[in-house]
Amino acid sequence: MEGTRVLYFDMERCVGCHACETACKIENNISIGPKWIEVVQHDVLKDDGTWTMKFMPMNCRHCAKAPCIPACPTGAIEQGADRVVLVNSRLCIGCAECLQACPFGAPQFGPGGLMEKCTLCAHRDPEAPTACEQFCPVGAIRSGRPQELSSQKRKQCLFIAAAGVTARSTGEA
Amino acid sequence: MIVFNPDRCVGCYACQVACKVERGLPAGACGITVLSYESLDGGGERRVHYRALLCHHCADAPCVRICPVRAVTRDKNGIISVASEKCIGCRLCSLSCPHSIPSFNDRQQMTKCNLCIERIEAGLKPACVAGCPVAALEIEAPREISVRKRRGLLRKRCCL
Amino acid sequence: MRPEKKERMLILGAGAAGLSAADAIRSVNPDSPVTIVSGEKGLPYARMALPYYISGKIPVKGIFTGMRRDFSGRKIEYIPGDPAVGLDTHRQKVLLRSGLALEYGKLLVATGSVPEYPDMLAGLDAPGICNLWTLKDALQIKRRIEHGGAIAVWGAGFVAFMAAKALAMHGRKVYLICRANRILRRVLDEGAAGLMEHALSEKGVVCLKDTNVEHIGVLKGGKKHIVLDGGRELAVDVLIVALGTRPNTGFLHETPLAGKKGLEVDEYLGTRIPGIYAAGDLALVRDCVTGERIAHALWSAAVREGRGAGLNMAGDRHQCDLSLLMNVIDLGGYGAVSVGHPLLANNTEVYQFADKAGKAYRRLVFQDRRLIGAIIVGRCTDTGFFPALIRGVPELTQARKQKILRFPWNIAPALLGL
Repeated sequence: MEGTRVLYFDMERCVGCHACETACKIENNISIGPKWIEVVQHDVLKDDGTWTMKFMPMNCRHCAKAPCIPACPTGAIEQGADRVVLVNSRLCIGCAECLQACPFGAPQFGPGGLMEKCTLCAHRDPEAPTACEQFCPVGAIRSGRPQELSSQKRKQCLFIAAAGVTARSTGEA
Repeated sequence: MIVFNPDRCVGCYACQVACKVERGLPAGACGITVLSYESLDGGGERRVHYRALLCHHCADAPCVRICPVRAVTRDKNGIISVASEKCIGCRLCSLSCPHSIPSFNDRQQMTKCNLCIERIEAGLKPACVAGCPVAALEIEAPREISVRKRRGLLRKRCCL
Repeated sequence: MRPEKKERMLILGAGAAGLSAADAIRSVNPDSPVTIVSGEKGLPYARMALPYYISGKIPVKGIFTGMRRDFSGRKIEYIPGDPAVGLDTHRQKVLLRSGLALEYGKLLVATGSVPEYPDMLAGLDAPGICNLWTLKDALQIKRRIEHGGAIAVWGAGFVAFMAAKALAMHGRKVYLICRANRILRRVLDEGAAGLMEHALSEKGVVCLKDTNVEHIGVLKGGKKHIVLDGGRELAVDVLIVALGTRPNTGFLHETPLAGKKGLEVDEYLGTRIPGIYAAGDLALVRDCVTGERIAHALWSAAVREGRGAGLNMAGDRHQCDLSLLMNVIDLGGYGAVSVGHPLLANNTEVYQFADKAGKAYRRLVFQDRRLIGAIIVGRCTDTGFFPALIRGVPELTQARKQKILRFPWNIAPALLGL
């Protein structure tokens, strides 16, 4: 789907500052507990015997074939024409079936126990950056159409190769 | 909430037995039901899958909303339980529950999973979770599930 | 502590719809003044539970749905025993019988329905002839049958069935006078009705079908003498009249809202006058199968609509039409469930299943790749999946349909597995 926006996370850039989490919470007025976007951390043992930390922000991927939608027993989760997956809190009963179905652990549950999650800042202008993208200090979050993100990444690979730097895996697109 | 892992379940029904024994439930009533269904895999082989139906203790549960005599209630820990002496057996709860979880005992009173509250208070896991021989059932808060999945994904990515 | 007049949310009726609406308003708006007016004295109770009180399954305190502390604790004003008698839509005022005039900002009409009472009984004000509609009726019936006696139930709908069942459970002789050729003809087909009639007769209920009441008189000693059109005569202690209901909209006769069948509402349950909503037995809500505007006198519909109307009164835009018919008829563990429109006959595919023992029965009705109705008798473990499936969650794919027809006794695997 060409016209739809996705978020791209650059694991090589993320420094684990959690600014995206804070920005998201303020922007969407989220209560304590749920994290629509969350930076997770993993310690990796390098070949030279030292440890390094890897970070990655995780939000809702707004999947084209979202498994949460058929899992919802009340039909509360819907996908609009722009592919953004949204939940209707008036239909949600808070059963958390969506969370069990989601491979990304995206559905969050607030103090009322109903599902809430990333809306890709649906209230903002569709062309404007999302709050997490806007406030990421290292540019690890980029939003765009898959085609744009893909060509950006290809160019980046070429740049790295041309500069004689060993191209490292930057994660899958 | 109790999380069911379909990849682990072998269909032994030990959870149902454990639930019935723990709660002393009669025939027909059980807090957890394992369903089986068949499908064909890529090579045309028949495969049996299992799925456990159990109460999700929904935050805004339809059974609580619909009970005409307010016998089904949600306590401060979020556990939905039924006061059987108040239940009239009208079965509206079972019709309103999208997974048809409420079942009825021989006195036509609704019975359902109470998350083995006595066991949890004693520091134990619910009977079905403890009774599962292949660890297909686990008790986890939604927040824990989310964090586990998110961490697991990053770990997988780092191992590439 | 009289609340600010103009923003007051006024709810007429303290039944399922009225109380659900109050809950919904409070869930989003903890402060706005809410007033509930009930036409009946005392605390609100569940009409649905009255037969269970008569049969002795629950004590009388078990039927109440709200306590005084529930209202005072949540700052809800409750005015019992004072039915609305008039509505002034221009001045936004509701007049109560006591003369009290209440101003409102938003109004919910949830006054429910009232039972039909045939003209034949008009002059006959004998004790022991009553509806089973109010707590007063239930108390009267319970008192009269305490030491035995025979009862006739006139009608064969849901209320009549529940009354007959409750009295039979109590060990009394019950005659069910049924005008049609089967009981519960609006919700059950012949097959299902036959099974339920058989189960009823095992409990001691005599179903008199294709028959109507011709004359009712009172014998010496207070017994009721009933002459049926076949010439048969019955002498009973209590006659329960259960011939259906009509919407309780009498007090609206001077307003543009008044309608014989009920109150027309849009998909947000608003009536044609802004600020006035309707929910429950009297709201003409679109049916989710036929699309027709119809008043469903059901507890489940009232709860759903009450919540929707409450949310919309509190400022939300929650679409809450598309009501679904569903009836559960339980007979001491042997039950029948009717969901949607299982008796609709145009362009429908009908599948019927019966088990070998002749105890369980299912009728599934499809139309245009949709399930539009189902009757389930016996084996009721998967009933919760039907309402959602009729509403289209999950979608009925061809594969699912095949699977349901192959394994009709439990549809859960077909819906969860594919």
